[in-house]
Amino acid sequence: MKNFIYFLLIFFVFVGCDDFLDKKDPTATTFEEFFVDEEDLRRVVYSSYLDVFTNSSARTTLFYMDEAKSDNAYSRVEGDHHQRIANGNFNSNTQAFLYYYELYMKHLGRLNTFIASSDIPYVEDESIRQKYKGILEGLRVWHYFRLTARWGNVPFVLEPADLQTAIQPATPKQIILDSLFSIADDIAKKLPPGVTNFAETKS
Amino acid sequence: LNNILRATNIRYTMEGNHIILFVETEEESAKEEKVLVSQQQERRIYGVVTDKDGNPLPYVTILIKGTTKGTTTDENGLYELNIDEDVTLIFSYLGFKDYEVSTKGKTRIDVVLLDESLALDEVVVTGYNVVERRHLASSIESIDVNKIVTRPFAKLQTAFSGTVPGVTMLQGSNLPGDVPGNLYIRGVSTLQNAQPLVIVDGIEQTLNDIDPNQIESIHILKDAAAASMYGSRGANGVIVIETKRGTTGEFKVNVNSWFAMNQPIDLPKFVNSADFMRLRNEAWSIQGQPLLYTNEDIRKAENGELPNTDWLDEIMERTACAYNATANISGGAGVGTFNLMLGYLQEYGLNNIEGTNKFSARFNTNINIADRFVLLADFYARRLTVNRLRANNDGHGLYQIAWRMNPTQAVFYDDTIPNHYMLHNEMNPVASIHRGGTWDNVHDESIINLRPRYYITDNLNIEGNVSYKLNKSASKWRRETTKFYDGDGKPVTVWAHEASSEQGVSQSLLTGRALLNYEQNVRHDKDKIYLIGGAEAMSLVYTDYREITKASFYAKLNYSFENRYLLETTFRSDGSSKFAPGHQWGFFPSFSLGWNVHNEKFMNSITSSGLLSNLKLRGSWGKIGNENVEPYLWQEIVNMWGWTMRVPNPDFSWEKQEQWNIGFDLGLLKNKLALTADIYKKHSYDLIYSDFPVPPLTGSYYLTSSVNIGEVDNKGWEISAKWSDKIGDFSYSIGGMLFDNKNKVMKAGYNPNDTLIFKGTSDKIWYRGIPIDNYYGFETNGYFKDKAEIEATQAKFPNTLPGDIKYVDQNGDGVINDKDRVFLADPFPHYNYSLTIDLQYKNWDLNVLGQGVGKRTGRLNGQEGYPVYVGGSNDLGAPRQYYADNRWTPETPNSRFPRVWTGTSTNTYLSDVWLSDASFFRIKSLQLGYSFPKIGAHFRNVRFYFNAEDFLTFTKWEGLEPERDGGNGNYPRMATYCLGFQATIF
Repeated sequence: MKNFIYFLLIFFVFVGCDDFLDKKDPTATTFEEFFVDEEDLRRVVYSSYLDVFTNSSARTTLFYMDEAKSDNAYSRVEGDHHQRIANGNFNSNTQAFLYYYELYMKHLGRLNTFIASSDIPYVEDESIRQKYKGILEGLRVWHYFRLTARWGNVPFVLEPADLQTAIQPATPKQIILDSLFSIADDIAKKLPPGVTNFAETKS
Repeated sequence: LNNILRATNIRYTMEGNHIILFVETEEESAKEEKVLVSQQQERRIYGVVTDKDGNPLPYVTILIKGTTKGTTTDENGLYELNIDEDVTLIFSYLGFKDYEVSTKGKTRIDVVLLDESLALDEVVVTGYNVVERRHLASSIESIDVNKIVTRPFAKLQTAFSGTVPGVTMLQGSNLPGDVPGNLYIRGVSTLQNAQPLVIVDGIEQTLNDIDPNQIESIHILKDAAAASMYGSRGANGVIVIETKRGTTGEFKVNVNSWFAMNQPIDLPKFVNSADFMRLRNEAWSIQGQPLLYTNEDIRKAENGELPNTDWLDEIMERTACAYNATANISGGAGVGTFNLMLGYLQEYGLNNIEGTNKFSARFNTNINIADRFVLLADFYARRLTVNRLRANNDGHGLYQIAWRMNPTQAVFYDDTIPNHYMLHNEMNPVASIHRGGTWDNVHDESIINLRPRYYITDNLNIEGNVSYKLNKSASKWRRETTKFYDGDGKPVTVWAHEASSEQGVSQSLLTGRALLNYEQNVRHDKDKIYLIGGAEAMSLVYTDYREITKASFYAKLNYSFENRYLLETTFRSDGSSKFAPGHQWGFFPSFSLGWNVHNEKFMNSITSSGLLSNLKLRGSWGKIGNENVEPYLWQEIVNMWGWTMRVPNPDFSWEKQEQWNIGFDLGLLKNKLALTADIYKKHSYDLIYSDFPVPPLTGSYYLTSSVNIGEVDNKGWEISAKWSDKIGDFSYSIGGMLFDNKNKVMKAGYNPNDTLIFKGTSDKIWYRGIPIDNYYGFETNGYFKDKAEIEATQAKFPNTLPGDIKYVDQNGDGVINDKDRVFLADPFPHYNYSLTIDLQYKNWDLNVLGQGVGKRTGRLNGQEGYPVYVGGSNDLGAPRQYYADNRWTPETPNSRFPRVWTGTSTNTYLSDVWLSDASFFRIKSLQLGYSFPKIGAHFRNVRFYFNAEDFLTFTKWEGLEPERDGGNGNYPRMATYCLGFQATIF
């Protein structure tokens, strides 16, 4: 009997240790597990284009719909949110703003992560890495152009952010623009030959 | 003789007609014992068994624990017994609580047995140990189980409505197989699941399908001092349930059976065919649209030449009813006890397909393995089958479709084609029942619960507990092919053949626990100490690889100083795998103090006069937690395109709650009047909001994450009183309770002044000071009289027409938008009260339970409020007669409701127009019973009863059912009438 009691006590003391409580979500993939080789680099570049620029079925990101958000045109479709904006019936959580602010901001967030980790995936040819990295960096510059054009001062962050560091004050538009041109120059310089005509235009 | 000789050392034995008196000295008995023990010879144990008042109890069974040997008392309550060595004796008697005593150092053992009901009332089961109520310093309530077994309900939640101060449950429907409503103890203090923790025989379980006939006691731990014993799981309150066990020396079968019939009490009355046409024409005429119904149509409808269908009548095919049969077969001897509890419940819904049946079997055993070693081995199995329609299988869908019909639409074409259903917008609820197929669900639960207990000494025992619970579910559905034809007999639609099935994800819960329990009278029995220390580990495994683990260590001390000053303190440390590493462990302490004022010397004059029998003051403070959230919420998920689908939160941890409680228990006039009152405040912080907006720079797809944010305060008070008395054969008791809880958001985001706007709804908001659930909408100022008034008003929605709602432009900016929304009311029930009357005259008994809510604001949305179904084409369904009678017309400009409309309308925004007083009082249960103490040789306590539930309601609520807000139709709320009988056999 005594042995049984000791067994129980020991069992509970050891079972109480932290590894008993460390359980991983069986369905979850972490970024580290995801970002492995050239194909993953290619995929994030593809989705960075598709989700903002090239998805022909997403009305909200179509270029002409962007124009319609100005006073020059007016959509009567509820899902385009134009009526809502005209009536002033919106708040910071209104879905409409997903396409004015959040879409660019969240792409910046993930581009920061991809660029910071761009050295990790395995590539056969280093120039491919440079090409994709350059594209990602270029897209980041483009997002800042769009954001500053519409909003003026916005948070200017070039590093990956977590829940805490993602809360940042706005940087004055002029400072952002001043940095963007030199950043763009650097990107172009680093790109492998044949990817851009930067060298030709400079000469 | 017993009474006379009690205080002396004179003892007697009876031999034939002679009574032999003798003097017993302590030395003598000690010497005698010493000799006997040393020689290991037979030794005589004797004594007398009495009840609390000193009356001798005849034929009490006395058994040597772990054997089948024993004896019984004679007519005078006397017994004697020869033993070889020291043993434990079990005294048991019908209607009394078993009593166990060791023979060590004793020759004469006089025993006072406590009445079972009294004994039950005087102790409190906290889940880990049993404490005498007088030694308790925390707020714990109990439910009278005998009263609930004869009430015809299928889900145990119903038992909590109106029976416990501080507990609310609003029941919206009587759908078979559905949980009637959510149970809240002392308000809502979380954004997550606010349901209390339910512990059945030490295992976490749900209340839903526990058969009340298998329950011995239900205790509700309300304050932090009581609930902190459950640490991280206690913040929503704890319900501790113990199931019935067998009694030593007594074989008996308890049966209880009832048959119940239901009658809907909340059916809507929609306008008839002719009125429907008139109202539609009225709407179209205001909207400037062509009128579809001619005067000829309306005349025909009035004369019955056109259909006038009552769709609800068409789909309610039968009277809903239910029957329940239970049998508890129990018995026991020195080797142990058993109780086999069987239950069967069958419910028939309002149509020929819907219904449920439930079979449950519970087998509880106490096995006395050795004198000091007991094993409690319990086994439980339950199967619940729920039958539903395949289409709209939530049970309410059929009613929603029926509400979307209108009376001008017919069920069948008027021709010779058999079963020629007419489809309206592709729907026909009658066809859904007969042609839409069936959906059958099976839910199984099985439990093995083993609790070995070893008594190291009489006062110290060690207990292990290993339990395993398995939940499985499966469903299957089937539909035969049905072809639908139009009026010309040409095929239009086919509902194709379909048969399939699905296995639910199984869950298995393994709990292990070790417990050291010490209980001792100290300082010459003046003080009493209760001490528990223990550890437990729990693992919940799903068959889809998910796993949740928890570990805990705890200690609890109760100390009663001269039964005057009471101390209760708990320390518990809990770890849960649901939280981020480094934030998994929480520490939850609590303290409470009690003062039994009536035991003070200076109260002697008042207590001895019988005026005051009990006055206990209690105060407690404690910290508890809430971990009732989904697992893995803090872990990162990245999809194949590199999108962060869930933002990792390495700081993700418990919800915490600090709570204090002050209360008193008062008993006056020999406890004829009992009064309990409590006030409390709960401060909950680090609340988990699993959809909290996060900054876009995190780069996540949904831009929300699970964050510990927000603070909520709940403040409330509870008062309950009961007067019981007996006049000759007539005994009665009248009880009442009143309680309220108010809650306030103290912090809605990172800072106290942040406002939290919810994704997907603007009808609710969070800012400092607002209740956690609220109606956030527009104030209104009547209805627009005419076009001129609309044109003269700047602040209005586009397309406003006469008879539409005039919203108040709160900020005066000339535009009506979200900035004009204000806090209108909260949806919580306030000033909850209940009234109980129990009368007993000879063999008759009558019990009444009335329950009410003094203040509640309900929302009249959906078709309960609006004149059309809002959604899709916005022109389905018919207005309720109540709406038609109170609508705006140019002749009634100050009406209760706006005009009738079809299509999109600005009237449907949340505004004070659609809020209504949902306070109510209802007779929850009325029960009349007649008992026969004995029928024949084998039947005892035979009782026949009639019970009526929810049959009488007083309310001003403009919707259908005051315990529910509006909506677009649901399975009705019912009154239940039931006949039943109970008996004990053998």
